[in-house]
Amino acid sequence: MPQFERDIRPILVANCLGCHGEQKREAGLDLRSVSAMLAGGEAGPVVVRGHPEFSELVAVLESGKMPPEDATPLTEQQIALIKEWIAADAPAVEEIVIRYPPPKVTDEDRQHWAWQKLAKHEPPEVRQGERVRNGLDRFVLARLEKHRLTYSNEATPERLVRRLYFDLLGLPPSPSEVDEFLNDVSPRRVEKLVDRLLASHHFGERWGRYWLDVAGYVGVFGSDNDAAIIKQLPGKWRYRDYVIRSFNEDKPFDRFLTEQLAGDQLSDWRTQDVLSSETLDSLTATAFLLSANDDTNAPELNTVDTRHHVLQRTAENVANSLFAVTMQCCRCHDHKYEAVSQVDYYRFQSIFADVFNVRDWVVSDKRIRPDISDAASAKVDQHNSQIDGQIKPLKEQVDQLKDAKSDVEKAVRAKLDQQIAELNAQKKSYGTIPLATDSKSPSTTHVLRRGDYLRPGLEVSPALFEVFLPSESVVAAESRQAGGPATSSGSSGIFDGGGNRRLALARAVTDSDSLAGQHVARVFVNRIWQQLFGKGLVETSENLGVSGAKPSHPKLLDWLTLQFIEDGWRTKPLVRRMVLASAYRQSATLPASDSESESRSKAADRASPQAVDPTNRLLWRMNLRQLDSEQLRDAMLAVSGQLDRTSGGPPIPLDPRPDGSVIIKTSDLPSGTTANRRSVYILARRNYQLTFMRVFDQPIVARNCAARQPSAVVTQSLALLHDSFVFEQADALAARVVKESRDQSSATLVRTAWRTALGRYPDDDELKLCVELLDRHTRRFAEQNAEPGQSDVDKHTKAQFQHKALARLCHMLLNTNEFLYVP
Amino acid sequence: MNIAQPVSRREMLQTSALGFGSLALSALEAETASAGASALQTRASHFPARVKSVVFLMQNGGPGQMDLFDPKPELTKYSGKVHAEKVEMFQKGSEANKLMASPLKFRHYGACGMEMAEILPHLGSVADDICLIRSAWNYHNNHTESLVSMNTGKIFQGRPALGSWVSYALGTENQNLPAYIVLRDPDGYNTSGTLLWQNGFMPSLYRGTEVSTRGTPVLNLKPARPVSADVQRDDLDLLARLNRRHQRAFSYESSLEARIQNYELAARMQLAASDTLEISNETQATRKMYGLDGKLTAGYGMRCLMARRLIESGVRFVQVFPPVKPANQPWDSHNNVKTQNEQICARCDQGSAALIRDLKQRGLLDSTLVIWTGEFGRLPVSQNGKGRDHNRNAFSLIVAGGGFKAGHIHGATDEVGYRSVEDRVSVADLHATVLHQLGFDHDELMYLHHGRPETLTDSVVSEARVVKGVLS
Repeated sequence: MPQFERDIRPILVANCLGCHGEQKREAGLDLRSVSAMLAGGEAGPVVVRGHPEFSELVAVLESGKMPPEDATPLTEQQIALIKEWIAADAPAVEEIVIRYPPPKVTDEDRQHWAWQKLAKHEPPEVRQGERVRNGLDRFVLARLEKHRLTYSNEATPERLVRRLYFDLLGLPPSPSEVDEFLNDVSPRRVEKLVDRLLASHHFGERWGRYWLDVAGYVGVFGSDNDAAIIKQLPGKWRYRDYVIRSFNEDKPFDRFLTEQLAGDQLSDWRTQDVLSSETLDSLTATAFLLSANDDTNAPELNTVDTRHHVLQRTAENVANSLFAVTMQCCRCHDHKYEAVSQVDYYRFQSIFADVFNVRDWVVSDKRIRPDISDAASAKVDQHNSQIDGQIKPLKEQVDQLKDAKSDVEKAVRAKLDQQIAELNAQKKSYGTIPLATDSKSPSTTHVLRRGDYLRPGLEVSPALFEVFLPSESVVAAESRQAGGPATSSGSSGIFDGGGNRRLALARAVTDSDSLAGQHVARVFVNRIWQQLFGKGLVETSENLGVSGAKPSHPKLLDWLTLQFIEDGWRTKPLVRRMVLASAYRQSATLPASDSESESRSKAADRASPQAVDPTNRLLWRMNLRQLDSEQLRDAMLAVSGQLDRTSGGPPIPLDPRPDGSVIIKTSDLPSGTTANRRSVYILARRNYQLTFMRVFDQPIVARNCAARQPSAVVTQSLALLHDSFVFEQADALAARVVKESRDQSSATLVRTAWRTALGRYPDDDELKLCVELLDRHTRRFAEQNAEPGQSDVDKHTKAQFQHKALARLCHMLLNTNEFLYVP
Repeated sequence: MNIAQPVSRREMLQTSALGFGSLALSALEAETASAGASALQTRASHFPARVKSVVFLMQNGGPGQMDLFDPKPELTKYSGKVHAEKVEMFQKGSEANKLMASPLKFRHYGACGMEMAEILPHLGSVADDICLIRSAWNYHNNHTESLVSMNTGKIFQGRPALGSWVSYALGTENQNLPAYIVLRDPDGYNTSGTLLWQNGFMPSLYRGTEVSTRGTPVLNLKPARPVSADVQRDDLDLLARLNRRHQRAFSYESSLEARIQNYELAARMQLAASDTLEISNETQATRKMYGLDGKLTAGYGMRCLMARRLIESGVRFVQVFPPVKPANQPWDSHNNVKTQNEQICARCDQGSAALIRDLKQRGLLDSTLVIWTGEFGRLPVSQNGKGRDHNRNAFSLIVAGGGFKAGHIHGATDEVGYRSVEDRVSVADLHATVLHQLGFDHDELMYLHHGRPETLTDSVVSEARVVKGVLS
């Protein structure tokens, strides 16, 4: 392999350095070192490592443009040698220093609120101390008071308990759970309830589901473009379980992120004889990096072009899930609004170039490994192949006897079959986990002009976005151009100098003293707030950049984030702090506008909140929130009593039907209730999701999703009215109501139905409306079924009609807006 | 433009100098307020619209231009010879790079004398009403990527379909039917299925609604179990009362009102959809024209007829898909150009032509665009003996109606039909031109997503421009 100092430099010295060297630098070009050639001259880099076909040096030599007319041209052999050298990534003895282009981030860019480090703010003094439950309330109340506003009344206990169950577990409370709360006379009953909910294994299912959205998790690897062809990545679901488990264990978020970004670099798992459960978790966690659709399992799509796309999508997903910035535009050009440049984009992308090595590619369906060590799996494989060796001759004998007619022959064959079965039973097996890990050392990364891999430009090395780096460190990197070798400096956010780039990234984004780490924490805290309050403190939780929204309570966001970091990056104390605050415990209803309360607020010198702040950015009330698709389906199963609360395991399969609907494939489920497990355990596809959930805005997973977009479209009403799933749940709910009612009077049945479905008893008007409907329906069904001449039906049949009528009522209760929204 | 410190997205849109203020704002309201049908109001266009609806006949598989629309005498002359230019292959089987004459014959059609294959007699019979573009090209050689770009503008998933953009821009004229309807073979999906009518980053209101020409027309339109009309009416009355009571306490939440109305809309839709899809009042002649009496032609013909009925009812965008049998990407002639084309032409030629003729007879062709296109074309060289591989560099497509030149041929490919060379039309150009005829400037029709004003054509990247040469 040609080498710079030995083979290439002499050619350049003899032919080129006269004009492009020490004395002269025509076109700003210096050919004395590889680093200098990579930086290039006025027209950009002249060598693109790995790509002689895109290297200007080769082009000008081959075309005869250089050396100029009167000089001797290079020989074909010399040019061939230079091409060979470039194709081999231009090896050199010198330490190659990637020069940084001049900083693009201006001081003005750095003024943007999200590019500031967290500031310490003391919770302010407020007048209404009686509404303060913790520091959070002081920030919110202070803003309200400035506008002569205050909190709404506390939510009723019935609504509060329902809200807490949905927000913490994603499920409604059962009637007895409601009672347990209502009957608790302790002044700390809310704290007790919250602690109980935080300890429930359903907590991880609810919050893990949200992280799966943020990560863009799916159980399939390709673009999932065909309804009928489902390409699951074996064991990918174990990442889903890992996420749920992590939330249940309240794994510190910094650790959680580190495992997902670089879990494969945390231990020497390749040489271990036994993989500990911790190691397995860390390896499984890397599936975070396997969200982008990747069709390279298909040979015709395993092209360099596609590989680049997979790498790009991966980097974009990670950037959005961590930093809440959108950088797709930087594939082709600097961001028009944000302080993210095209160079930033490719530097960041190169962090993942070890996993997604375009020159040494691992195809999408091979990004897995055994869930035991290599040594152990080799043993199992060996054991099994030994058995296969024993089976082979037996099978040959069976084949010879396949047309057996005589009883003796048949008996021999039966015996052979049995032997084969016994041998097969001795075989051992192991499971599979998803894995994103490095394959060989990553190839060089270039800025791609207009995002085209056929137009590679400047070479870049892994780094965080410039805006995250302290301006001094950018300057320091700049000054290295003058000489001095680059040093590995993970904490500064520039990861050159070799080493584990993803681990360096993980360290940088979890460093609570750096802007990057603080920003990542802030993005997460804002998203948790969004899940509890309906909107983030920054409404655009997917975009904290200049083009996103501004925070409604910037100091509160800083304060919460610092608390979060102080709590060791733990999610549960953060959630606890938010839900115990008076801000969260307010009523979501509008204050009564009768004259009495009007005069009261006048007396207290209060403004009308609806006039001052109609969109409730100041939080003078709680927001009414629509259940998301998982909550809705799970809530129906919960109130109907059909919910199977088993956790973990392989996904519940889906069945795409010719009519376009997708239902749960019940044919080979382990048990009759498996289809009724929580929605997070249903196979996660990019497209063709369970119809009932897709209708309720389960996102198409082309990218990651920081916030669901609820809609209110007519297909939802049609689904709630007509989908067989809702019919089934209404029936089951009716049966449950009959069973759990003291007596079978219409009033009792209605009251039980309300309490079970909606967590409260109906008021007198509601009771009356429902009893009347129930009785009318009962009569209708009786009349429809009455035999001519037969005047009365027996008691048993009458009860049947009543139950049928009750099922209709239950169906309507499941259709109510009260059921569909978190109060 | 100064958007350095926008106070909110709303304010940014209102104050932005990009010139998309009110339009994008109304969509933003739809996005955040989760409004129901009301967001599908007709919007003001940028300039007077030439057409108000579109039928997109998506000919999945990649119809071969040199076999159907673009006769190439030079290809016949050099058939069997190795082509001088190494063509871009996708699958295996074309390594020899040998040119292959079309096994199909061409003839002149109509007063304009447009040359098309003999196996397209029906499309030929409307030659004087169509504009044949022979210089189209797309971005990718795989079906999915190319289908996704043909239908959403880019090869990457996750963007709204053309139909979503049209219904976002134009709303619907019929408040009882979706603005954007998809008619596919009730037996299954063609390649890439529902990806081709996604709402992408827009609210799900703008997603294409699948309407079936067999059985229940819309998913969940009818109850999974029978519920008599009086029971359902009684149920819905109770529901409305409970929802109204509930709404009082939360009157700020506009989606509650949308939902209350949606239950009434659902009831109206049951009738409207049934009315529109009920074809008993179509004459015998009309049915025959669409081929409803033919075993091979009935399925696709029915979808074309339904498309006309939906357009008549005020639907904005109808996407029609070819049969999924004998192959789910029926124009994909890898093995035998002759037999595979004969098979699919026998199924799709008549219905497509009938739609154009029928719209014209009813005076609707002036205000409707009919687009007939595949996702890419095919190579001039043979694959596996008698077939042809994918070719993104050239294909032919047809547009009929609303302001497009009739009896006109636009653009040309090189001498063997490998590459579009003259008056090239990219997928983005096509989209820009369609929006233009609907009264919208493709650079101005924007939707704010993740802080970026997105457009269908993203012309900064695609260099899309309106193809003036095809417009009359």
